[in-house]
Amino acid sequence: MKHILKIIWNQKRNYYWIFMEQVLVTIILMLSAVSVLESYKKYKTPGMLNVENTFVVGYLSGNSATQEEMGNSLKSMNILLENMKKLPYVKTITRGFNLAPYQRDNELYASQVPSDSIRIDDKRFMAIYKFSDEFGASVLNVEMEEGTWFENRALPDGSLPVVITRQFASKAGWTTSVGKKIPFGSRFFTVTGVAAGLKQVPFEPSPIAIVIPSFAMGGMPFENMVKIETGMEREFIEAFSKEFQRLIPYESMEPFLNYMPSLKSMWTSQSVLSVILQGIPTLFLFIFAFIGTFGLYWMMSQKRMKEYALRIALGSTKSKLIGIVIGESLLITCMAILPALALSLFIYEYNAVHVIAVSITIFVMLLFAIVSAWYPAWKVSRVNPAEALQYE
Amino acid sequence: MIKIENITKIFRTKEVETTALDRINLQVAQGEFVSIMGPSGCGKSTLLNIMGLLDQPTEGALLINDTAVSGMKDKQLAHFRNQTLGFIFQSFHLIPALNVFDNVELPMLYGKNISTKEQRQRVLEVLEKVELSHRLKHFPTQLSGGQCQRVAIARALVSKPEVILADEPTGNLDSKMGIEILELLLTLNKEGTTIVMVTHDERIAQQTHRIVRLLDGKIQ
Ligand SMILES: Nc1ncnc2c1ncn2[C@@H]1O[C@H](COP(=O)(O)OP(=O)(O)O)[C@@H](O)[C@H]1O
Ligand SMILES: [Mg+2]
Repeated sequence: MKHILKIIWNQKRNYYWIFMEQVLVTIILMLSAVSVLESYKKYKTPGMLNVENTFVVGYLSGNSATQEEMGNSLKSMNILLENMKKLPYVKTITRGFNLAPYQRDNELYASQVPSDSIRIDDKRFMAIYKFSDEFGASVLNVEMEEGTWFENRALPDGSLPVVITRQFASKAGWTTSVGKKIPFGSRFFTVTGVAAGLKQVPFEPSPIAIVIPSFAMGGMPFENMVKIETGMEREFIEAFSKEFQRLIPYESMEPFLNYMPSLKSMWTSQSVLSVILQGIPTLFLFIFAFIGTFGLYWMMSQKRMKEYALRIALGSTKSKLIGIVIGESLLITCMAILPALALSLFIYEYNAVHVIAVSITIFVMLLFAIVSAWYPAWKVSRVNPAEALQYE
Repeated sequence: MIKIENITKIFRTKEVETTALDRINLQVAQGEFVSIMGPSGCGKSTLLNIMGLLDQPTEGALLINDTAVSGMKDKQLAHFRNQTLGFIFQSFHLIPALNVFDNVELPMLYGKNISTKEQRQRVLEVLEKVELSHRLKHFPTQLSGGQCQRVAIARALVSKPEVILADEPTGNLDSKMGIEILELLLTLNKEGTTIVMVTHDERIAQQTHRIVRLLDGKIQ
């Protein structure tokens, strides 16, 4: 070890480029690892909603729609949904707004409903408003951490029941939330339950949100979710289209029907793709660095063949020769990791994601060192000392 | 000490087959100073390399201290080279990245566990012997040829080998330096080290106990 250090130190110049290259690779690898892990962590945050066998249905009104057509369509949609509910393969229908996930990005969810900041005690924060009927929880399989989803009526004290997200409760600083009052204009909401989360897109954590019963809000648009039996997608789409043409036969009104699992996978693949796109340059850099490092070690080991042959003559075993070649590579890499490590202490706070990402980086770099020196080391171990030490 | 029985060495390449040694028999007794002479290409280095366990004979047996060497594992061979043998080469073969002290210390890194203090002691001792105690921190490129060879001798001595194998140790040096090196080897021999030396120089060979003459792979 000390011996290898001496050799490296006395030949600093030969190792300069390998060292600089590895410092760079380590830093970039670390940044990539952190960003990938952070995405993954966001993906794993609680509150992913179950959208299996679920459709979002509705209609889109064109510019040419008359007041009368719009009014009729709203009524007809109610009838349409009632009819759908009677189909044997339709399990549940829920009507709400801003609750169905994967409809838009997080910013648009935040601006869908004119939202006011919430004021609790001395705390003030923004929350996303969502509306739902009593079936929202069962369609989306919302995981309740505390309490229950609300019924479709006001509470005995006249206040409206609401469900909040865990993020809301944390922001409010509540350890238990059921029964807590939230001021709303001149009235109050009463919390009946806390959801573990209500994620809107797969790769972002659940928002600070409050779900209000939709019956209380007259005259607002609806996002209807329909949960059906597995394998009945085609039948449902056909039935819906037929009913739509019968009940809403206006040129200006177009049926709207989205299969939510597709939406979800679209969002997911988009995020995964962007992570991969970020990763590709890193991967290339890594490959080039590997080829470069391997080439340099290869060249150096060839140039130093006499030295290795001499070591055999002086009593080194083959495995010790391998050890010295790989040891040099490992030591260089260990030194190259140090600047990245120092940098990480500066730019990252101490948390699990960063510790894991940095550990992975170190592990990969050490592997890099061993693999890139492996073949040269093996070649060195097969040196014929008589030949290499021949005087020419 | 060293016993060579019917050793043949054939180098085979794709095109040619060279018989470098042809049924050689040779014994070197403990404490002897033997020189090997012969024209270029007659197999002197090959013979020395086989004695030094750096190459294997195609046929025949080699015994060192009555131990048959054939069939030994890499680890045992390494141990033998480290503990029993010392090498000196025509072109010194010092490691350029290490200074004089570290070059001389090198064999001990592969040997028995000796305390760092004693290692240091030994290095200083052998460097004293070759009169290079004042050049510890110098690198090989900063030394003359004669000095380099003395470092190499110190390195061969440091693990107290019973045999020193020297392949034209004076070949790269002018005659004055050559004589210095020879005198050093003679002193070592008087102190009990067995030496086998390849040389071209008749005057140098005359000073040794015995001259073995090789021609086309055979002893004359
Ligand atoms: N590695 C080798 N491959 C093929 N031929 C070799 C090899 N080493 C030595 N020889 C041949 O063996 C013969 C003896 O070589 P060597 O022992 O080096 O001679 P010397 O040291 O007496 O000059 C020469 O003809 C040389 O060409
Ligand atoms: Mg020779």
